[in-house]
Amino acid sequence: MPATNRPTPRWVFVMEPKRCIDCEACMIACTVENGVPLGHHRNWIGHQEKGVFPHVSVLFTPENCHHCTNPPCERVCPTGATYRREDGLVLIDYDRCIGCRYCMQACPYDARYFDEESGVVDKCTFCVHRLDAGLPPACVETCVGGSRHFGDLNDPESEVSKLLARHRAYTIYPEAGSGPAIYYITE
Amino acid sequence: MTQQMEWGLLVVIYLYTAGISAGLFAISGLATYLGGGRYRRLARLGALLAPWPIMLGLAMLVFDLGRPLYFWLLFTTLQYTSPMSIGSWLLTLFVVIALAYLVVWLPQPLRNLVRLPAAWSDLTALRRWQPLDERLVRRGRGILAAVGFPIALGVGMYTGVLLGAIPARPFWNTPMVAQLFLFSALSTGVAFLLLVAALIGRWVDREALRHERHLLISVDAVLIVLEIFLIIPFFLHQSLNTWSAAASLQLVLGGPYTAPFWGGVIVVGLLAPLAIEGYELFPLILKEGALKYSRLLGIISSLLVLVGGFFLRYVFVYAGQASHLLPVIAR
Amino acid sequence: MADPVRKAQSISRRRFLGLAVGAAAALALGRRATADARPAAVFRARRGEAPPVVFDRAVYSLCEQCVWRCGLVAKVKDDRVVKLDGNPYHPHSNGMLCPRGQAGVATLYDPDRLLYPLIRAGERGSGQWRRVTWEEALDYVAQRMLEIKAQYGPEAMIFSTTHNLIQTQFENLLKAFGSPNYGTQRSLCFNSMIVANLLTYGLEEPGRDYSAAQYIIYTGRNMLEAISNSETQALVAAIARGAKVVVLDPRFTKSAAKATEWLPIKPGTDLAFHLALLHEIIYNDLYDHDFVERFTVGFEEVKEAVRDTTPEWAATKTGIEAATIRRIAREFALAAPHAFAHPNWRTSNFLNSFQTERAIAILNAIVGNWGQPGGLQPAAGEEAGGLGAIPQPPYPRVTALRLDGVPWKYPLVPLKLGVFQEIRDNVLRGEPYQAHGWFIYRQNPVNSLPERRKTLEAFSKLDLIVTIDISMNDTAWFSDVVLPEATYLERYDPLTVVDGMVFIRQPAVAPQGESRSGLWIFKQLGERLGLGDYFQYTDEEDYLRQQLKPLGITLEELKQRGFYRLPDAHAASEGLSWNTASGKIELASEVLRNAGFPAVPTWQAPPEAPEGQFYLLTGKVAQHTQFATHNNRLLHERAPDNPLWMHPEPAAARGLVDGDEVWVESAAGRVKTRVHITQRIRPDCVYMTPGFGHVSKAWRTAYGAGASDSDLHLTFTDPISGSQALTQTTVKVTKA
Repeated sequence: MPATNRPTPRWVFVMEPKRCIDCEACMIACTVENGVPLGHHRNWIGHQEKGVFPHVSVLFTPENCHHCTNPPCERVCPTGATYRREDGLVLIDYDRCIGCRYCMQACPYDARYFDEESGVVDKCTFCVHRLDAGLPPACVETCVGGSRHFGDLNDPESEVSKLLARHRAYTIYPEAGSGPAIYYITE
Repeated sequence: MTQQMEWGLLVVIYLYTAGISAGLFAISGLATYLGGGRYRRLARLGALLAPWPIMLGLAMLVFDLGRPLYFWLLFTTLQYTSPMSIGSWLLTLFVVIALAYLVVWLPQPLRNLVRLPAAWSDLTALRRWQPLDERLVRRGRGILAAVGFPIALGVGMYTGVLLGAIPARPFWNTPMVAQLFLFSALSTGVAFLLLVAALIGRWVDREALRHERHLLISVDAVLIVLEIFLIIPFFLHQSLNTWSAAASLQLVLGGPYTAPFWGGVIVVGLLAPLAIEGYELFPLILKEGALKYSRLLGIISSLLVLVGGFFLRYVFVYAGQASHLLPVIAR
Repeated sequence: MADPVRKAQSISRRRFLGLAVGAAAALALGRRATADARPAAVFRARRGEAPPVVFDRAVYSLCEQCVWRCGLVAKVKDDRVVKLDGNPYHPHSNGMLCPRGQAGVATLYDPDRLLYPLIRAGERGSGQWRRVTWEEALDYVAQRMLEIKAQYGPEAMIFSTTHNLIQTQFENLLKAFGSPNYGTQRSLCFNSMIVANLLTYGLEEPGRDYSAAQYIIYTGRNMLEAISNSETQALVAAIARGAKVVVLDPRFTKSAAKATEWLPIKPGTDLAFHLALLHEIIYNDLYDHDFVERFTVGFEEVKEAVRDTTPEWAATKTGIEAATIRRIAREFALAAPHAFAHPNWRTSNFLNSFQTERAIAILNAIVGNWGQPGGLQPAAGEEAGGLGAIPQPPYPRVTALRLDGVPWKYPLVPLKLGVFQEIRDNVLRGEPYQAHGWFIYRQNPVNSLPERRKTLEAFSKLDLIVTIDISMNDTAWFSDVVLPEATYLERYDPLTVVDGMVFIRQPAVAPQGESRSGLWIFKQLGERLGLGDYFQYTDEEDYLRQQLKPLGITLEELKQRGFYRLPDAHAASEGLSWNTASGKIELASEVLRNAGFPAVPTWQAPPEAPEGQFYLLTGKVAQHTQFATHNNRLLHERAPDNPLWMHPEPAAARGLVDGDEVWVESAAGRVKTRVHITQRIRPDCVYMTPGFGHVSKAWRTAYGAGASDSDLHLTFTDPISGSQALTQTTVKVTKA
C-alpha cells in the first residue's frame, strides 16, 4: 500500500514477470473498477513464447500505461488535455479532449483506447481515484501471483525502491525515449 | 497491445486535400510572379480553386474527431510541441489567406460583390462599404502570394511532420516524410490545376494554353523526379536504421501495403505520369519541336498523379499505424 | 447508474466513408445525444482535482464463481454492486480475487439471468417457456414429485447438485423425501484422489504446507490455471522463494511454464513414474525408516510391488529418461520432509488414476513429510465447527438401491462421493429400476457428464426435470421447470467455517426480478412436499440466527464484520494418528484386498491411442469455471472459445495451418473447431478447454462459442473409486 512521508511521491510500477501467471484478474479488476468498455483495455499481459517442444518457455509481462516521465502523448496533444502531474501520473482532462487520437499514435506502448461512447481517449490512470484515497491500484490489489508492485520511488523504504535496489530491471522500448515508469525485474 | 486503425480514410482525405490546396496556392503564387503576367490565367484559376479542397478536408477532420463540437478547443491554446496544434493554427491562417487570395483574384463582376469599409479610421468610414479598390487588389495579389507561399509550403510539409514526429510508428518516423508529402502536395496541386485547366480548356485560345501547359507539365515532372529521389533515400535509410524501422519496411515489401504502394504510388502516381510528361516534353528537351500535348494526355497524366497522391497518403497513414516498435530478441 | 459492464459501442461513424455529405450536413446528422457523455466510472481529472473512491457501503460476503469460496468485499453504490475486492481477512483470498471473482459483477448483471419461474411450453429444448408465479411453479413441482413418489417410490427422484454452501439443506431435502439417489460432480472430478487418500490416510484430502516446501511434484494439477486462489498464491510465492517444482503434464501449461522442471509425460503413465520413484527411494534406502516403522503398515508389500518398477522400466512407459526419473527421486527424497507430491485434484483421467493417487499418497508417506514443515498436513476438512443445527425429525429409512451402484457395484466408493455417470447410465438402462424425475440444483449435468447425447437421451426417459439455477444453461434449457435462484451477491447461504473462522454470505443488493435464495426455495418446496418439519426456519436470517445461537455473536455483528473467530478453534487432529482401520498410514490396504483389488499400487497399462488418433486432453483456464461462467461477458471477452491445441508435426501432416477449421471425432460424436498450432503439447495429444459449445440459446453471449468436449468424451468408470476417466477418450482430427 503506497504510503509516503514526502510531499511529492513518484509513483512507479515494478513488475515481477516471474510471478505473473497470466490469470488476467488484473484486467478484469481494472475494467470493473474504471468502467472500461468491452473491447478496450487499460492493462494487459504480454506473452513471450519461445522454443521447440519439449524445450519451450512462456513468460508473461503485465503492462499498462507507463506514465512516462517524458510522455510522447503529452507532447503531441493539441489541446493540452493530456498532462503530467508532479507525482508522475499522466492524466487526461476529459473536458479538453477532442478525440483527435493523435496521442494514440504517439504512444509507443499502444496504451490508450478511444472511448466511442464519450468521444474521448482514455487509458490507465494508476487508479488515481484510489491513490488519492490512499489505496493501491485495483490491479495491484488483486494480483494473485503477486507480480504487480506499486509504490513511491521517492521513498527509499517503499517496496518498489527496495525491489529496484535488489534486482536488475529493464523497461520496455527505452529507445523511444519516453522514460517509462514501469520497471520489470529480473534476477 | 495491438491497435486497430484509429486514423482512417477521413484522415487520409484530409491530408490529401490539404496537400492539394497547398500545391494549388503555391503554383498560383508562382504563376503570379513568373512570366510577367503570362500565367495570369493559371494564377487566377489556382487562386479560385485553392481554398476548397482543404476546407473540405478540414470538415472531414472535424467530423472524424471524437467530440467534433469541441474542435474550437484547439484554438484556446498553442501547444508548441504538438505538430497538430501548430498545424491547426497554421492551416487556419492558410485558409484565411487563401480565401483572401481568392477574393483578390475573383473576376471583376464577382469581386465587386465583396465590400469592405472604405477606411478603418472613423465611424462614418466604417459604415460606408464599397467594392475593393483596383490598386489594392493588384497589390493584394502580390502580397498575399508572397506571404501565403511559404505558408502553403508549411501546410504541405506539416502533413508530413505530423506523421514524422512519432517515434512509436517506425514507418513514419523519418525526416523524409515531411519532404515527401510536400513534394507530393505541390505535385498534386499542379496536377489538379492541370486537370481543371484541361477540362475547361475548350473555352480558351490554344496559344494561351500552350505555355500554361508547358509550365505545369515541367513543374510536375521536376516534382515527380524529386519525389523519386526522396523515396530512394527513404528506403535506404530506413533499411539501415533501427530494427523496428527496417522491419516496418516489410509492410510495403511483401506486406499488406505492397500493392497499393508499388502499384498506386510508384507506378500510377510517379512513373506513368512521368513517362507521359517525358513524352510530352521530349521534343522540347531536344529543342526540336513543340510540346507534344494533347488534352487527353493532360487529363490522364493529371488523374494519375492525383490518384497516386491519394495512395501515398493512404499507404503512409495505414502502414504507419501497422508499424510498431519491436522488442529486442535477446532478452 | 449504468451497467458495470460496458458494451463496445458501434464505431461505424468513423469507419464510414463520410464523403457523400459535406461536413456541415454530417455534423447535423445523428450526432450522439450527449456530447458531454462520460464513461460510467470515469473521473474528471481536472488539473489538481482528484475524486474520491466512489461507493456507499461495503458488504462482506463469499464468492461463488468456483468452489474455493474466497471471502470478498462487495462495494455497493446506488444499490448496485460496482466492484468486488478480496476480503483481506479470508484465508482463501488474502485480499485478492482471481479473474472469475473479479468478474462477479458481470454474473450478477448478466442480461441472461433467470428472473422468473418458468414452465416448459413446448418440447424440451425448444426454448418455449411459460412464465409462472412461484406459487404455481412450486405447487406444480411438489405435485409432480409427490406423484412420482406415490407411483414409483421416492427413489425414482434423483437429486443432484455440485458442491455449494447450501448443500446441507439440499441433502436435507432429498433425505427427507426418502431418495437415496444423490448425484454430485465428485466422480467426474476427484473420486480417485479422495478414495486413495481415505484408504491410505483416513482423510479425504491432506493439507499442503507451501511456506517451507523445498520440492513439490505436481501430476497434472495445473495450479496456476485451475486457480485455487490462496493455494495458487502460495505456489507462486514458493517458486519465487526458490522452491523446486516438477510438473508432469503432456501439455506445457502455465504451471509447467513456471515450474523448474516440466516432464512431457505420456498420458496415462503417471503411475509408472511414481512407481519408479517409489522403487528408487525404497531400494536406495532414501526413505524415512523411523517414520515408516512407527506410523505405517504394509511397507514390505509395497517394496515387493515396486521391485521391478525401475526408472528404466518407467522410461519405456512414460517417455521420460531414466536418469531424469532417478534424479528426481533423489532430489525429492533429499529435500524431504520439506517436500511433497501434491495429491492433485481433478484426477478423473485414466482408469489407473486411482493407482496413481495411491502411489502418490505412499510416496509422501515413506519420506515422512506428514505434519512436517513443507509437507502434507492433517486437515480438518469441512466441518460444522460448533455452529448450531436446525432441529428436525429423523429421516425416513431408505431401502432402495442407489442408482449409482454404490455400494452394490462399487463397494469402495463412499456414499458421499457416489458415481454420477452411473446414475445417468442407469436411467438409460432402467436398471435396477427406472427413475422418473431429476431435481438439479446449481449443476450442469448435460455438459459435465461425458457423452452429452446420452445425457439428453436419459432425460427423455424422465417425466420430470426441475432445475434451479441463476441463468438458463444447457441443463435448464432441456428442463421442464426452471426456478430462478438469486446469485451469490443477492442471498444468504448457511454459514461456513474455514480455518476456525465463521464466514457469512449475505446479500450485497436485493435479488433481481423474482429470483430467490436456495434456502427459501427448499423450504417452500419442502413444505409443499409435506416435509415442513425438516425446514424449521422462517426465513434466511432466522436460519443463520439459529446457526449462530451457540456462538457469542449476533447476526448483525457478523454481517458487519464479515467473520467471527471461533473461541476454541477446533484444530485438526494434531499429531500422528489416522482414521484408518489400523490407526496408521496404510501403505497396503486390507480394505482394498478384501474387496478383491490390489492392496498396493500396481501397474495398470493405459490404453494406447490407436494409429492416427490423439489423446484428448482437457484442462482449465483461469478465466472459466467448468461449464458455468461462459456467459459472463467479462470472462467471455478474455476467453471466448477453445481452439484445439496441436503440435506442428501432426498438424503439417494434416495440411493444417494455425486457425484452420477441423473436425474432431471420437466414438461418442464429433465437433468442429479451429486448430491452434503450438509447441506446447506432445505430438500424440490434442487439447481443448472444456465448457464451451453451449446449446442453450438463452445464453446469448456463450451460445455457439467454441466446441463442446461433452460431445466427445466417452464414459469409463474405475471400479474401485468410481472415477470417470476423461483422458481415455481418443480422437481423430481432420481438416474441415
